[in-house]
Amino acid sequence: MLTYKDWTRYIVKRLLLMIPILLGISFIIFSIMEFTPGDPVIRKLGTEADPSAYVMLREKWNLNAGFLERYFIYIKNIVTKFDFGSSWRTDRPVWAEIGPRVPVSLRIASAGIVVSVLFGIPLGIFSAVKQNTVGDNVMRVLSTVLVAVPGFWLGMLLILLFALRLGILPVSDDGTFRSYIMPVLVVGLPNGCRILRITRSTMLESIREDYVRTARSKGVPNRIVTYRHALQNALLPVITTVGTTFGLALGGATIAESVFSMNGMGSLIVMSVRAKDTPTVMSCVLVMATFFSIVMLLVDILMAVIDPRVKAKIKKG
Amino acid sequence: MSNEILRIEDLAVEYHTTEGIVYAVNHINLELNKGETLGLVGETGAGKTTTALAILRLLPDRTGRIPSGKVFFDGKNLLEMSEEEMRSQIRGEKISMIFQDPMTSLNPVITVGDQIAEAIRYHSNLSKAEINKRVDEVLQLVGIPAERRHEYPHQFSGGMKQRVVIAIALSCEPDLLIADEPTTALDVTIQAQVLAMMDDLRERLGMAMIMITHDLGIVAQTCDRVAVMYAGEIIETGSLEEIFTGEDHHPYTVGLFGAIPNLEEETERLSPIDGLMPDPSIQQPGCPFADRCPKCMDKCRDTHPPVYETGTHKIACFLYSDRQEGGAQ
Amino acid sequence: MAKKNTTNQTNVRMSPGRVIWRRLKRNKSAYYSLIFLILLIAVAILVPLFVDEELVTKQDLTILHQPPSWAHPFGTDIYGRDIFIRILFGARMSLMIGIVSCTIGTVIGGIIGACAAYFGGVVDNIIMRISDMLQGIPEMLMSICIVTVFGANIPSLIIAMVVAIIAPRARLVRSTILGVSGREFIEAAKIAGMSDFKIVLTQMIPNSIGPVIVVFTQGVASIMLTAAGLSYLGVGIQPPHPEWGALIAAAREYLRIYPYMCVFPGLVITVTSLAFNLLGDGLRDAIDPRLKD
Repeated sequence: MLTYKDWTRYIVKRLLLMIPILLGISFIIFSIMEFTPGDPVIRKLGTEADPSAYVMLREKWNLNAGFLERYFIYIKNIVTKFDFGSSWRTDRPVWAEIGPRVPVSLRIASAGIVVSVLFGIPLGIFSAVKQNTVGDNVMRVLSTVLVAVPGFWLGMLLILLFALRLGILPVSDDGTFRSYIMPVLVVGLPNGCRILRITRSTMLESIREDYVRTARSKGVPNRIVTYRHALQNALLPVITTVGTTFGLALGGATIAESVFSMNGMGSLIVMSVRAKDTPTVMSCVLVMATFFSIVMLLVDILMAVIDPRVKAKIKKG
Repeated sequence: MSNEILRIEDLAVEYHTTEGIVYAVNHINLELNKGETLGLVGETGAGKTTTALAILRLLPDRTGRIPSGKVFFDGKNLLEMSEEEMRSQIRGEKISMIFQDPMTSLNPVITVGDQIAEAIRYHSNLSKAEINKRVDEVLQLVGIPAERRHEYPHQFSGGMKQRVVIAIALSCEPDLLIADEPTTALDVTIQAQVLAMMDDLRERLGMAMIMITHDLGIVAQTCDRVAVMYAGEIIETGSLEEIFTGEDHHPYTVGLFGAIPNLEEETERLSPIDGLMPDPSIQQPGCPFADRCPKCMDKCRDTHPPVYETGTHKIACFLYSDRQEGGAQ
Repeated sequence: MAKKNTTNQTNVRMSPGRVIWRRLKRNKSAYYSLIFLILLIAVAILVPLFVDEELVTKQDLTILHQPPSWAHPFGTDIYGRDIFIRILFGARMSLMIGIVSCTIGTVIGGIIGACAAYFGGVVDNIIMRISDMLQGIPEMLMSICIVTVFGANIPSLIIAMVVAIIAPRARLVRSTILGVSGREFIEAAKIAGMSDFKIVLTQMIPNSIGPVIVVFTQGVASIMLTAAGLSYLGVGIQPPHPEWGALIAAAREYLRIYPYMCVFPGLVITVTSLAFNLLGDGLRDAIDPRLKD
């Protein structure tokens, strides 16, 4: 068994490891943004402005410093003052734009993941246990199709059915939680099918393992064999997949926000891309990547809790 | 017959795969008495593991089929029992099985103690404390310190893992233990230890055992009787002496023994048996060994040889057609 | 009559390619998907020869927003353009982006992954860390970044898709190669005196290529969906190009009154992506059938 000390040591180590990765991500994003063609100052002020205005703006936006210097300033500002710079589109601090939108996107992505887990794992188990029966085949067809459906199209079909024809759900954000239902479905269903398929396949593999045969030869009832032996081992790779699916959920939330006109980070990104507002796009992506990394960290910790083999590696230090 | 614990009659096993039917076991007969050890010998692919799985009805659901046969255990036909009866009364309780690879036979995320306790829990009404006591007893029986019950399989060496597997199998003191190549995956030195332990336990508990192996040395060490299996059929059975030192044998048995390198003689080359086992997806009309047999006669290819017996020594070969016919084929 | 053993070993002489093809043919959904895709690609390539490309953009005010009919199987849009024809031409774009990006990305990612596996040590470590960082950015967001910078046009979209899949491909190829090189038949080949180059060519590549091919088909589907998504958001292919995602974006306003404008393009995307996925599944089962039973 691991002690509190072991656990804190492990968590701290993983947190520390997360930092270089986040730095790397920010560096990558920063570098990509460097390629943005055109001069942002000219784009902001036009070509007719007073020369001193250009100089001032250049100073303000630190555009005279070198690439690396600007990168370090950027990171320093974020870490110490939570200052992501100013939006080139609205002139307001970027964080003021992003801040209120974060909960919306997080809600859609997280609720979407929850839906996909609640949908995918039980049905995946059912499908595996009842392999090749009618139920399994229906599940397989359904999940294969739903994975191929574009999220935005699914969203529009849902709007067509529930909002326009049946009128029971709102087309866009109406202030209540009901406006979240369809976006969450758009994120949750296709990803749920992805999870369903992988749960099914790991269960099928797990059922074929030798230790399952041993359990059956001991006279253990089939239900226990399935849930205690096969499932527990099958879930390990599934949990990892759920973690990476969160990344897809963030992307899906971006699209869902667009389809359903929700005010989350996703729609902000789209607006900013069209306006070539680099700082805002960069910061949004950075924030989302950070959340993604946190989720992956949580997944790693969860694996350590469940899998004794991982625990053993931790103990060794 | 009251001393008989297992009697297999005319058992056939098929695997129905998407690429065709595989006839793994073709109408075999076997008997085993209480407390006796039967060695089931043969090459890889002969059908030994399939036979064992068929006895416990652990064949893969989707592909395994038993089109004919009876498996009498203690007088009752196992093939006619319901799945629930098999599970609650037979598997783990009256008949136990241990498998070849200890590395994969144990569940990696459950402690060793819990895995043994599981075997006991579903066959008795003991309280948790009583079960734990029993787990400690069984661990001691196989030479593992009781404190290790909280450890996971990956913390044990190969030989120790196999001891755990044996502990699980013996926890309910079964009447019959089927051991499918229990030492093949182990080092030779560990092999000797584990075999000795199994032999000792078997005597103490008065168990019958089917020892499945391709290693004739192990057979010589542990078995009272031997059955030689080839291409899904039992081509010779007899007592240990009859098989190892007797004069008359099935040509395959001769080949098997002949293929063992002799420590005392000097030879240039080993003498393996020419050819390969026949394709199990095709049902052979004649003797399965016909194509590789040095003594093959014309009728061996057309007609299936019946079993000829002299006392307890049975051989399925036309060479011995002057003897009494016995056993259904 | 007794049969000789040699005639029973029917599969020994067939090359692995033919065995896989036979298994694939038996899988109905994969087989029909393959046929559908071949037809679709053929149509996409040949359509300009049979249909006047102008019809894609030419407005015809006499047949505005017509529902599906014999003359216009998918209806017409608000500019009077035949949706079916637009979809056909859109196939050229979507398929091209999907196949080209996936190929380039797989090749580049594959080479990087192979280098990581071959050189090991520090090189491997560096490549893996960088790939961790790249994969820390969700795919869609990474593509949006690139499109922000390079503009919303086809080359930029292709670059965005390539960058998004390089890291996962490198990882896949690396782990496949590491898995294969540890196996005994590689050792056996080395002991038998095979040169390293020949080992890589005749042993390692044929054994590693299976998963890569399967993932390739699924990658095309996923790239097509992502590209369509970007076009839908307005940051991908712009109108009047008939890229499928852009078609659906244009249909949004008229969802209530002309739903068919949205339904058909989406259906086509779904069916195409489904076909690629089914083909991928079929290939996976054909290459490694142990997983099926």
